[in-house]
Amino acid sequence: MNTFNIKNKVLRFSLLAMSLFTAVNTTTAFAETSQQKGLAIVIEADKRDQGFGDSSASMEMILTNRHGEESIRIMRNKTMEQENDGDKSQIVFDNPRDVKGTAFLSYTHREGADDQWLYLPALKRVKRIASSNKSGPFMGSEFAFEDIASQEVSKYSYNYLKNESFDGREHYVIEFDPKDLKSGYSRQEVFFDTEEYRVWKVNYFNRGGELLKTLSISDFNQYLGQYWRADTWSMINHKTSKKTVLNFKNWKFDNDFSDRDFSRNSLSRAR
Amino acid sequence: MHKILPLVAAFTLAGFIPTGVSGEFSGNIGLEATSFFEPAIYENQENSYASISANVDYYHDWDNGDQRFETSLFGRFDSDDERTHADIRELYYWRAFNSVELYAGVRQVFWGVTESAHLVDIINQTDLVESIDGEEKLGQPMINTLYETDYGAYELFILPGFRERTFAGEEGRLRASIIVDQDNATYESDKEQSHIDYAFRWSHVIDLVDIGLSYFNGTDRNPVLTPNVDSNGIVALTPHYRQIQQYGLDVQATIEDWAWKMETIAVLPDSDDNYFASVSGFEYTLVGLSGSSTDLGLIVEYQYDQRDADLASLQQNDIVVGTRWVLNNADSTEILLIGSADLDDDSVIMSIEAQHRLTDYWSMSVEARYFGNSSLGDPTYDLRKDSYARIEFNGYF
Repeated sequence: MNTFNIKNKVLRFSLLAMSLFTAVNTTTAFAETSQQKGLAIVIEADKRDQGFGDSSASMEMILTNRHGEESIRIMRNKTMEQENDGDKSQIVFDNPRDVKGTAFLSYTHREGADDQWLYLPALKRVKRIASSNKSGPFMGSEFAFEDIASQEVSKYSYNYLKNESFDGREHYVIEFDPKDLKSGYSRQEVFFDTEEYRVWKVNYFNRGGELLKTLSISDFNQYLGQYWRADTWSMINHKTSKKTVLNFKNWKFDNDFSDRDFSRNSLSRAR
Repeated sequence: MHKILPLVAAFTLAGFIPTGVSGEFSGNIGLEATSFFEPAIYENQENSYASISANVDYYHDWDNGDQRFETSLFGRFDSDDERTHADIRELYYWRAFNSVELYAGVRQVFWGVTESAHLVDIINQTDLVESIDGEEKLGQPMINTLYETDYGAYELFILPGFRERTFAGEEGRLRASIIVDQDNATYESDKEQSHIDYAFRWSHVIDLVDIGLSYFNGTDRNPVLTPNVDSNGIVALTPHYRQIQQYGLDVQATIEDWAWKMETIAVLPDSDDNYFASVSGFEYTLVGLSGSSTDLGLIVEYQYDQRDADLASLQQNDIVVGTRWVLNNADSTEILLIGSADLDDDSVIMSIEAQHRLTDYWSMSVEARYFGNSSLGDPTYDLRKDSYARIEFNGYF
């Protein structure tokens, strides 16, 4: 299992602020290339999510196979923003019951590989795990580790493709090209709304260039008068017809988390 | 039945815990069947065993999460009397102060990084009747402080109350040809089980490297087994627990798909020769094997123990090769296949462990071990007819 800053992806790419127009106006004034424009939009989205401090949420993942059979995972997530690096986050599993108490800790980094540890309650053992496993499924779901990991601006190169309207909103469509060769994707198409820079949709293309999965994000709420978080993430795999819906509940900010809550030693106490 | 008493006491104690703050009960019941491939060597041993076990866990947080009571109780009934036992795995109070944390009570603490041997892990006694892999532990009474700094975590352990290792009884398989006489253990210290041990550990994460340095001073968890004639005139192995100091080092460097691991101990017995032992190796993970979701881990470890083969350790000059298959499917199927060969005497141990989820509340696991090629004098000679398969169903609540 792997990194879980789910909220972060949402957040990093979603934010409100009136500076939207300023940012876009500034960038367009320089007759930029599509790469520059893509980067500027992503930087703006990232900027709007900075300063949230910490957050926690409970998560329910509903996996549906091609025969329509469902299985459910229940987890809790805590995240703390770091000043000059990626976030620290922890996920504790409640269901299925055989993995209850299993806890996952990750330190994401702007540069280089993330640090990840897993706590196995049966053995009371904390294990450092290889973080290069980006493309593998998270808990048997249609989400890969890299889909839910904290997204850092420096990990992709960008290309503004076009504007597209759906559901009554205007979106920037930005192509994300992963710099990491271990990514399972050749590219992603990420749809940011032009008002609040929230991500509503992502198309994932496999290494062969074919459309593999589509993520639809909805039910956004705003917290602390600034930060947007989505409650519903729905991932469809076009190759296997399998589906995973990830529901967030009980978003909480200002938890007053400290480094102690995200230390290697704290994993064994995680509840 | 006296072994069940601690369990009853703990349940009673748990009843006195204040209610009304965050906390919860959980646990599981395990139904296990073990079958041996070959007829038993010794009288009274069976060819198959049935067993039922239960874990009951409870925790309770208060004071904004700065205080916790936690308990984890275990019990098993088995067709081998010596395997029928109960234990307080954990029963402790935890409190966080500004920069220090305090634990008081019975706990389980794991140290180390390698897969095939757990050398530095010395705080808890091994519950050997539970599993011969040494990964099941008895609860250890302790007072333990943890102090975390930017330069690593410092832990101090004061360990009153020694726990003796559990061994299979006369009716049990997976035992030495001579029964271990568990009622007459001897101790180097006059204080016997009341000797107060202590330990210190520093651990740190430096970029890709997780490192731990530890020191232990007290009663060795590994007994020296000496044949003696007991009161009934029967030859039995008497466990003798020495006083030792143990220095431990464990390191793991996690670099992309590679996890490089090493554990080394230096043991200084008060009244015997010093020795060292080490296990080192790697686990390499092939992610998404041939386009699938399956991860294949390759494990190679080398074990060295300076002591002679006839002393306690089964691993004195062994190479261990294994593969770990993680299917990454909805049922979390995992298979671990390990082979271990003694480079001195050609004896081999093969083992397979697999887990699979059946429903949200039930899972199953399968374990099989094969002991081969051992000749008289090898540490595994007594296990030559004890190759077995075991299946367990676990129900969670």
